[in-house]
Amino acid sequence: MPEYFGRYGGQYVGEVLKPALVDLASAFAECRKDKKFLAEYKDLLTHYAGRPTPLLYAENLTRALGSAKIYIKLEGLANTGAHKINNALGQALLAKKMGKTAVIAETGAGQHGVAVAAACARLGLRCEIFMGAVDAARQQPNVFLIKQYGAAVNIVNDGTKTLKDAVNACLKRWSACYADAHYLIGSALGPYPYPDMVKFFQGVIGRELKQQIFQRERRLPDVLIACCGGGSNAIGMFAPFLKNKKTRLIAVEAGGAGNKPGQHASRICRNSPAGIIEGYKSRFVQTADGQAQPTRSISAGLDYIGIGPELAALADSGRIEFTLAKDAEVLRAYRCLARTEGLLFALESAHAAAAALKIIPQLPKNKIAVINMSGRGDKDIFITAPALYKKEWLEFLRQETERLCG
Amino acid sequence: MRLMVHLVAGFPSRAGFAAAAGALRNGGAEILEIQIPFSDPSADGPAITLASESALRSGFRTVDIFDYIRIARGAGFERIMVMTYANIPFRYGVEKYIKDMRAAGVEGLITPDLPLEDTEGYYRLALRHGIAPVPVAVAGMLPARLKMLRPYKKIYVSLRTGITGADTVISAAVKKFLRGLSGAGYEIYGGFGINKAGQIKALSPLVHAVVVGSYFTRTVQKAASEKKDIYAAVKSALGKLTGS
Repeated sequence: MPEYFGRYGGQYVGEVLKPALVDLASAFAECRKDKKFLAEYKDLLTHYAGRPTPLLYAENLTRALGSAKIYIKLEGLANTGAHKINNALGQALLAKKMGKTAVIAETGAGQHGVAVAAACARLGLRCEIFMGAVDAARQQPNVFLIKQYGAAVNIVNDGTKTLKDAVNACLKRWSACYADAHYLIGSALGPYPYPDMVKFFQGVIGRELKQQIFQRERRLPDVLIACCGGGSNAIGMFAPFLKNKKTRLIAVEAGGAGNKPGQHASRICRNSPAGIIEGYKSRFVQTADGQAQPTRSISAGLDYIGIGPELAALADSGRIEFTLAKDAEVLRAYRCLARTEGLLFALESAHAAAAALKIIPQLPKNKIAVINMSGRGDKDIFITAPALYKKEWLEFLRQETERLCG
Repeated sequence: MRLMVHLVAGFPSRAGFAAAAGALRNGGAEILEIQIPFSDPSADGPAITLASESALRSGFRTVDIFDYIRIARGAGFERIMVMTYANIPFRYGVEKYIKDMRAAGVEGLITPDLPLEDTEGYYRLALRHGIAPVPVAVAGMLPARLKMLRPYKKIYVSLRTGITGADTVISAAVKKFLRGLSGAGYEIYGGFGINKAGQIKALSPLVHAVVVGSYFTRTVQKAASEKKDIYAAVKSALGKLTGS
């Protein structure tokens, strides 16, 4: 069946959502081939999102590691600060073509929420973002940004009050409002056609990269490295290379603080079993009974129990290699890239950098490796500053609080 | 009128569940739908979601459902349905789940996120092992999907789009949908958000049993948090619905 990737994927939803998914799948199938739609989408990517994003030759890091030639794809330079905008614009445009007037979306770290709110403002769609109460509390700057774009923020108090609970809240809401509203899922997961649709819109990362590297090196890269929560930036970067078996594809999961349950968000590296949660079959961080387990990562964007079904299938087949980076390694990589290349990686993307710092020194000099900087790290200042600059940051916050309460 | 009432296993406690089940049976409810708590209940409202979380926090394990089935039987329920989400039978083993439920004397199984396409073999295996798989239908299903209900006898109909709040307006379209299913020989369990006697009165002639879901979970929740007698609270809540 087309909605499956190996043994994963599917449409595990109640009958009430079936018509919405059937409509969406057929609208997407039309639009992906429609020249007018694709031209409009490309126009938005060029003039609104700021694509193509640069492919930087990381000369300093290459010299420092003394092995393979390193390039970095600067997705973080896209409008709203991360690759999330590629998919948000694509799906929002699709929603408009389907005659929808509103968009609902979940967000964890808030990056997807920001991208969706911005895309909806640009395209004239009403927008409501669902966010777990725990996430909203620790990502207040993004809650603020979402509201600046005119979107409503709906705080979810169910369950662990994080991303998965926001997804559930969206599914519930969507079943009551799909006649007018599109549910804009932010990662390459959820019931079919979402995994395919998100891959299609994020595939622009890999397609651009392929052209850019070919112009510079006249050949394809040997290794691609991307971080992997739900996996939208990873599948987007890897998609055009899946058939080139010579290009190694490496996805980096959140190793969190340790190996024990509740300390990480790793589905593949920690052998989390298969399950059916939130409308799709994949591998999930869960108990033996199948209850979702708490996850942990320094980056809110990788702190999720599931992984896109196609990525799980590509892990099973061995086409994508999986590794993980722990919180401490991630912070080291974040600092290293800021100092060597002048690039402030988002903590999610810094997982890819952390793995690269371990993998690249083992590669021969004639190889070419590309790291995806899926987002930039300005947004993480409330996590990175307390971790790396605690005393001064505390003093600053104290002063600001005093001034505001004055 | 025939009622199918709903409780979450493990909520608010083993004894609290037993008290609620006893009150429901003694108050005349015929069928009990027991829900196995799941961490991500994507089709439930806030009351059942909270109850599920509470049961899981208290250490509920899937195998405990058989204890709760025994409690329900002890309370006098002869007709028991078990409801949960796909990941529970999937992790337990779909065929083992079906066999064990059959052995425990369960009449039917409701798993709303296992689709009619039956990719997990759940509907087929349930039929083979002599336990009713109870698909969840909705008014407005396309004819092609209505056809997929044919192998089954008992159908749960979610009426969320048909009943609007206090006024108990059952739209003509929903009435027609229910009559069509009954006419085709299905045994219909209908409900969603039922919390008033008037709604039950209006719905009863159209279905085999009216489903009362989160109403009792809310009652149990309130009684438990106010440290009131759960048996008395549930009995009185049921009385308000049935007018007795």
